[in-house]
Amino acid sequence: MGDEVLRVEDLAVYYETMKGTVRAVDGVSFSVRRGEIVGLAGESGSGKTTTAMAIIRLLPENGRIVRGRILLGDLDVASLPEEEMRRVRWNRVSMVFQGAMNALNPVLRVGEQIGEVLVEKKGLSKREAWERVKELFRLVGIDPSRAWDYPHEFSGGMRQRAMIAMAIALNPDLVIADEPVTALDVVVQSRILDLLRDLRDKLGISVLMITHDLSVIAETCDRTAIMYAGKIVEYGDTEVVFARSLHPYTRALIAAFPSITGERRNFEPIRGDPPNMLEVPPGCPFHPRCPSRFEPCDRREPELVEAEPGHWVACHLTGGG
Amino acid sequence: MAEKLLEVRDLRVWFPARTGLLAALRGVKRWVKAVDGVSFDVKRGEVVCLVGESGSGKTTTARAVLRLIEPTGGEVLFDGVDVLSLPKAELKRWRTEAQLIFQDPYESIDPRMVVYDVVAEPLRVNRLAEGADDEYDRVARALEDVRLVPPEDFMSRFPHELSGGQRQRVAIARALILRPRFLVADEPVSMLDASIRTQILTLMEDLRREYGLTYLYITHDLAQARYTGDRIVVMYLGRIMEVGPTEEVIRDPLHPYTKVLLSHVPVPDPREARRREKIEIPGETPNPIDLPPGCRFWPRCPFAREECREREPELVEVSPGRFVACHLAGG
Repeated sequence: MGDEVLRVEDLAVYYETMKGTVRAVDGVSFSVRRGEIVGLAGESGSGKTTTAMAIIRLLPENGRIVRGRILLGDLDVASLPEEEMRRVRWNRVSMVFQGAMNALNPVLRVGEQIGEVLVEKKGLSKREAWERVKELFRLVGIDPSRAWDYPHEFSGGMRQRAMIAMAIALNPDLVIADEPVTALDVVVQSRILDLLRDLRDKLGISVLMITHDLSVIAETCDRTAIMYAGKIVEYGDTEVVFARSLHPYTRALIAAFPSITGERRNFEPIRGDPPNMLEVPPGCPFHPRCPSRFEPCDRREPELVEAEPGHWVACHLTGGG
Repeated sequence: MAEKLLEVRDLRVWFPARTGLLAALRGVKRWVKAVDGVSFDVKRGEVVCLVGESGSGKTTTARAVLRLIEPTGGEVLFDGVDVLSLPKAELKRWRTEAQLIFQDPYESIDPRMVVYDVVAEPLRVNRLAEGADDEYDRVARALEDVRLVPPEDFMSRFPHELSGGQRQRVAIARALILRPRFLVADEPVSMLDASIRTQILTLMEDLRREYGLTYLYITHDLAQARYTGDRIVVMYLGRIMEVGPTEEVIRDPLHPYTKVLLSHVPVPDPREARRREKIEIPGETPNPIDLPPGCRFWPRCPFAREECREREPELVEVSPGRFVACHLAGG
């Protein structure tokens, strides 16, 4: 599709650790179209954050991209030298982090921090940058008169809004939002999610949403990829992934999220723990915990196949592999 | 035997606020009223969820009930005994009956101790084991209780050699080894992965049935409260807004704050998520210093009337078992 702002193909990211090689992401492919919000969901160790960090090329030192392509438009950033990547970061791909307090410099006024990015990366004059900061503040729902405040004078929700303002300041093709509402109170959380959707509608921004929370996915994402042990196990329109889940892990994970709507059902816990990424089980990585495993699951790894148009799953039950 | 295991009456926990030099010179003393006149009870074998956002006072309430924080005023009756007036020696004995499970297991687990010692420590501190064999048996039993089996496989491990879920199981085993009757659980699963969360919640429910335990469960998450509690207590800025049976509060909230909160809880269902309407309110939860007169929620309440600014509503029973502190709901 010509309309893709991001296309990830067969991405593999490994970490070298004292205990051995961790295959944190191992053969992941997905895309984000213009104006689309795509969710990467999974539990700890699933590889969702590593995927995000690889795209914006902020992997820790012991992590490296060993395979695959990360296409931002026509540009493959997987192999881009850091010097060139610096021109791409924030300009073409930006990121909203979980703890906005840690991402903002505490001794600089919030407006100044965003203005600085505009001066440095876009070559705006101070005056132009200031006008743009005020415009950005209005866009994310902060009174522009607060631009002279320091981060600690902002509430948690306002700090996260300021982070979003910074992320969209240079009109990037893609905004990565890594657990953008995780530590926030419920009402603030829902407003930040509304804001992201509004910005998508108004400005046509494209968002890759990284989260462990399937409720956040259900509230915001057009398409969703469910990750487990460094792989995508299911991928498709969010409604389809929820309503017609094919992978037993997807089904179990959805069932693990309590809801205030609908009938109160009993939990059916997923047995066992997420895999130790140093010793990923052979075959399908989910097989030791899977209630529906059968003969080939512990020997052969299922491929991600298109079970119905646009709905992909990696499971022997649906013929993967 | 009274039906109520825990009765909290007019509990207040005020902290002196840090004030400016000028106020200090004038001798003006200001208070952060973290908990300000909270009353509720917990029946034997019941799970009561204290729900609220940050600044609601839910955690302070829980800690004051266990006297981990000294309350400014009020009463806490446990099995009819006034906990707040217990002398030190008796307080120590009482604490064997009422235990706390933290959000972060590392708050109760010393990372340098092996699992056996972590779980045995409360026995040792209270000198409750009759010799080494008895101690071993009790530790093994506690680990079996939390399904860390066979227990011998876990006893000599260090906390960092366990998964997050296993660590929280060890913390629960440690809380259970004194055979308490009452457990306060403060967001016990909010740091865990979803699949592990359900395991721990299921375990806690099994243990409640097996041992006839009573829980006070603290959470910010109404959806989790729905699956955990028999009754819900909704707090806002140090006060109770609403109390009622869980399912009734979720399906038919009476207090405007509960309605607002519920309308914003994300739901794990994309179709439902699109259908639901959110009730918008201005601002964020203010600091519990300089509270507005009248109802604490009125500055943000979409339904506020004149009297809401003037008079603080009492928590009153509007129908059997349902309590609301709101002038509009008959308070």
